[in-house]
Amino acid sequence: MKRGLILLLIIGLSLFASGCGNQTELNRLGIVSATAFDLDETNQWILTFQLIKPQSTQGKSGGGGSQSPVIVFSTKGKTILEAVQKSKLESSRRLFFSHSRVVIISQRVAEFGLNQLLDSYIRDNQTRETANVLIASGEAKKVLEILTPLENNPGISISNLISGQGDGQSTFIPSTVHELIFTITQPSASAALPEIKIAGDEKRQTSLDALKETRNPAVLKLDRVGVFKQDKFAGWLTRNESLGIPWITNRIKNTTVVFPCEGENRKDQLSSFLVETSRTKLKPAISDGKLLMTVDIHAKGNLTETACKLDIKKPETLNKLEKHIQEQIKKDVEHSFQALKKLKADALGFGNAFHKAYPQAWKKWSKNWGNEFPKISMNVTVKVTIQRTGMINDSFPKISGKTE
Amino acid sequence: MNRKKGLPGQIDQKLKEFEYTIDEDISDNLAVNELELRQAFANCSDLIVRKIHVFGSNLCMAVYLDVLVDDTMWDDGLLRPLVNQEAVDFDNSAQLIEQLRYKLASAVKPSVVENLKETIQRIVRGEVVLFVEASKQALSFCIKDQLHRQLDEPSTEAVIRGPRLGFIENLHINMALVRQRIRTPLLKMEKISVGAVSQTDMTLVYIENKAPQTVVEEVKQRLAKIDMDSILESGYIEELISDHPYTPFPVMQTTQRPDLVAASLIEGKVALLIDGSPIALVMPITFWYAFQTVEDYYMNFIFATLLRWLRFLFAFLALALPSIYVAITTFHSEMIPTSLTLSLAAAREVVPFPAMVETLIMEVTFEALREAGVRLPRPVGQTISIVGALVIGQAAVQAGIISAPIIIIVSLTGIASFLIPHPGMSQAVSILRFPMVLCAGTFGLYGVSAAMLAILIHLTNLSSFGVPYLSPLTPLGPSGLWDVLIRAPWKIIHKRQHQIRQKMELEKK
Repeated sequence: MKRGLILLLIIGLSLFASGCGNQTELNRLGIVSATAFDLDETNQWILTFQLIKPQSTQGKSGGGGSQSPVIVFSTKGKTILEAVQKSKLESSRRLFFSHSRVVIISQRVAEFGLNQLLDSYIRDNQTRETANVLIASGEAKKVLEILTPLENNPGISISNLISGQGDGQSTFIPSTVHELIFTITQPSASAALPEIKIAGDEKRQTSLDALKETRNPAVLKLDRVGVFKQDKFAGWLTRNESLGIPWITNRIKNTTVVFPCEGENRKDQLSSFLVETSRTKLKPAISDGKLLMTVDIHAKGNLTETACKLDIKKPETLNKLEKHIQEQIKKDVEHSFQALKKLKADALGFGNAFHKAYPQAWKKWSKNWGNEFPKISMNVTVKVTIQRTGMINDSFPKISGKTE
Repeated sequence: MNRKKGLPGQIDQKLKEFEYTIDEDISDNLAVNELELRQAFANCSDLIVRKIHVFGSNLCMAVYLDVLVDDTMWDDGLLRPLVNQEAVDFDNSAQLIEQLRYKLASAVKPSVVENLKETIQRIVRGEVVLFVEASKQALSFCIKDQLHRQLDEPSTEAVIRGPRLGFIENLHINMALVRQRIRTPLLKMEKISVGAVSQTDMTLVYIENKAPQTVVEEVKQRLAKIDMDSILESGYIEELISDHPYTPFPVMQTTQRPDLVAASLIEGKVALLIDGSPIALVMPITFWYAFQTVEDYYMNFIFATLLRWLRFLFAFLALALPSIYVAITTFHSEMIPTSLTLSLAAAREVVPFPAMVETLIMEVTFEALREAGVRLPRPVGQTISIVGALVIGQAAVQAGIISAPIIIIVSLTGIASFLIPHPGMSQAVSILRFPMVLCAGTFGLYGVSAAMLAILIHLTNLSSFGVPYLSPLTPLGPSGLWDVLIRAPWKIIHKRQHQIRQKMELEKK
């Protein structure tokens, strides 16, 4: 009995005396929703944190609408961790990175190289490898200051932008940290990251007043694609140049292909094709000592819009349309390929495909893949199937009977 | 240590106090008998000693306790037939006894007693003992007043579909309720009496050939070993004959429902009906029994299976929800979806206490409210629920003393604990909830899983009358998985039960 009591006491006291380890109450945490990395002229890291104010998320109580949903502050340090440490001088709460979904790096950081950043990122146990990485061409911290009208939390808003919640816009390269690491660690492959851009008057969008207007002075927008060689920034692809990348890397989920329906020159008669499923196969080959890549694309989808006078009920018409779509896709793919060739950056996974197919020869190529890549000739075969044509059969121009 | 040694001596003394010093035969002198009895029942105002003449002028003496005897029975069933006999002259008293035993027109069967001690025992049980002049034998008539309330629906085990009859405090009627459901001579009802002073009657009920003989013997042995002055409720017995008196988990089924007892008997269990208690004990049971209700077997088996899983889920919530909440919010904030983190953080923004303290405060409050609700008279009980729900719940949140999520957690936990059919299991879960919260508050999810593991180890160690508590899940047995995780259709249950019995018989041979 006595012994049992003593044992109980020891257990009980050790529970309370253990100091509760790494316990932190929720209301002592500063929840970071997004982080931005900049480098100043002396190559010092400037870290910018976007902290969520929990009070502001509560709809009714405390008049959540009257205060900004987030606060943004920056710290400076010779290393990344030094900058994080310095945040304690400024923030009354412990920074908590587990809910940070977005990492924004400035072009300067990208040119400096991502190695140090990624190292500290994956070394930390709080950060998530599922966070998205984006490049800002200017200062990255400016992006975090922009308030978003629909999402209370700008960080979540940006991450939703990328995960392609708007259907048909998922042509962008998803760029989570683990994918980035995966690509960078391969000797041949080049990573590609989307650019985030502030379109409009950024000064005015940092105040809550901006959200009171119907049309916001500035919005955050995805635009170009930044291409890396190893961990260093190589160059930009424009929006149009980047269109072909998801086709080749087999990442198309939902996208719209715009194509002219009566030959290339009729710019006024355009149609839209909504891709529902698409599969891409890469078939590397060597012909006459030259590298040849055959890209097989098979896309299925619906005709969603047409301005042409068409008799869609006829299979021949559909076949003709399919051919036009195929040409359009082919053009996009070629366009991207040419652009990447210029940058000598393989963001298409060609290196991987050749590695798998010719493991012996790869040893030779891999040393100089940056120069081998532009020499590849690409052969694109596209097969398109129009599965449905929407709620009506014949095009409206035909139904209305108007001749042009 | 001294205490333990002194214990048997104390009991001896007590026994001596109540042991009626007279352990001798009945005297053939009525006056001597009367004196002895009056001495034994000194200061018992309800003792009646009444001299009557039967079969003419043969003097007899009826002794009984007024309060225990049914007046009408005594009047019409015994006194009248006794007195209204034609006068007969007997050669000796043995003839008179013979006459009384076999020729008395009464529904009450007399039994012969010769020992004064037994006489007294019969009197305190409400029998009328008739002494005959010049005879060393006396006759005892059982006409005790069946003091009992109306048969009623058991309030703690209500069903939507199923019989509305429940046990009451009268052993006789309870036995009848069981007997009415199983009409076979194989249904055995053995009478046992426990308690030195209270002399409580109880009946061990089982079906021969279905209940394992070992279990029946074990129960009998354990009952025989009970050394208590009184047994006033089945709870005494449950604690005294349990394999593990120091566990919070119940190792016996407690029920007010005769249909549940009947069903268990048919499954080969042993039941114990105790006089003065409307709660019957059924044993041996496993952990899973606590999550079954009789109604499972009366309704659609798919729905019953669903309900069973619902109970498992909510039993888990009742045990672990507060601790998981504490662990996740204080140690593992990264595990919560971002938007939920934000709402939780916002709700906790103004709260002065850490999550663990907050949870403990609310859990204790809830247990207090529950206890108050049980004890308070019904009209006042409503006030408690209003005060509890409105004042403590809403006002405390508005005042910023506790956060709204914890109210949700605690009420969900409260509801969950009521989903467990077995009240003992529900109590066990309530008890264990508190150490779980402490573990969660100090070690996070690690503490929660360690506590769960400790509970699991404890459960695997338990047994009920030799049956492993977690069987048939562990040790994995063939018998009854179809009635543990699901409620299989009756056809299958029946077929499987039959197969197992055959297999067991084969193994015996």
